[in-house]
Amino acid sequence: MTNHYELLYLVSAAYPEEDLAAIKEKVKDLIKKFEGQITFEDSFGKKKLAYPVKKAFHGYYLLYEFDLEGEKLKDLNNNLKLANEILRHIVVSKKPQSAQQRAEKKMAAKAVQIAETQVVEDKEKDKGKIKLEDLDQRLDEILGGDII
Amino acid sequence: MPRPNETKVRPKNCFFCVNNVKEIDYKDINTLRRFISSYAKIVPPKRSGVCSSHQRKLSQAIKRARIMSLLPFTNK
Repeated sequence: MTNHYELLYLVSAAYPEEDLAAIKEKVKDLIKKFEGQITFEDSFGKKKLAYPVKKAFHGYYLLYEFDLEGEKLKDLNNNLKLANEILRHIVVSKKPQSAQQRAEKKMAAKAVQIAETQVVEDKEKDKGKIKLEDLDQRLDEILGGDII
Repeated sequence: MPRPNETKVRPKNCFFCVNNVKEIDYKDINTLRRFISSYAKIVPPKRSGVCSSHQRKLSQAIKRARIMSLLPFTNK
């Protein structure tokens, strides 16, 4: 029985970006070796790590989605562990998604973000108004006090 | 005299229920960031208002993100 999985792996930024293609190819071959079929490929680019891993402070996050037989997952995991280029990896089972569903999800996430930023902006605007009024009052008080 | 039981109707304030999120993605750090404290601990549902079923998924997602160095285990 084949299941759908998602693999996210971390490559140290010590490797130049030209080498990434070779590493990608290596992981791809590894998945294919265990008769996995790649359905989706993504990259999150160079990012700062939350904590140093093997003295690396930056890394590239790369992602594959693939179909694989459940029994072969353990072997794939072991092989990924042995790859020197990969600092960390995680394989998670996932529901298969079509390209359309993926786009819809992205849109929904964006909508949530936009709504939130608007709420924050509104709050900040209110704050600004109150502060201005307060400032005027305070200025009046201070000036008035000085004159008397 | 025993007090009559007051039933308070609280508004639903689970972030994920409100936004109709069914699965929490461990790669979505900006969302997960709201649910960790300044020491990078997972915020208890009592404080964040997340419902119990989403809290279970959330804690799983945060732990996965920690392993992948997307989120810190701790801040000094």
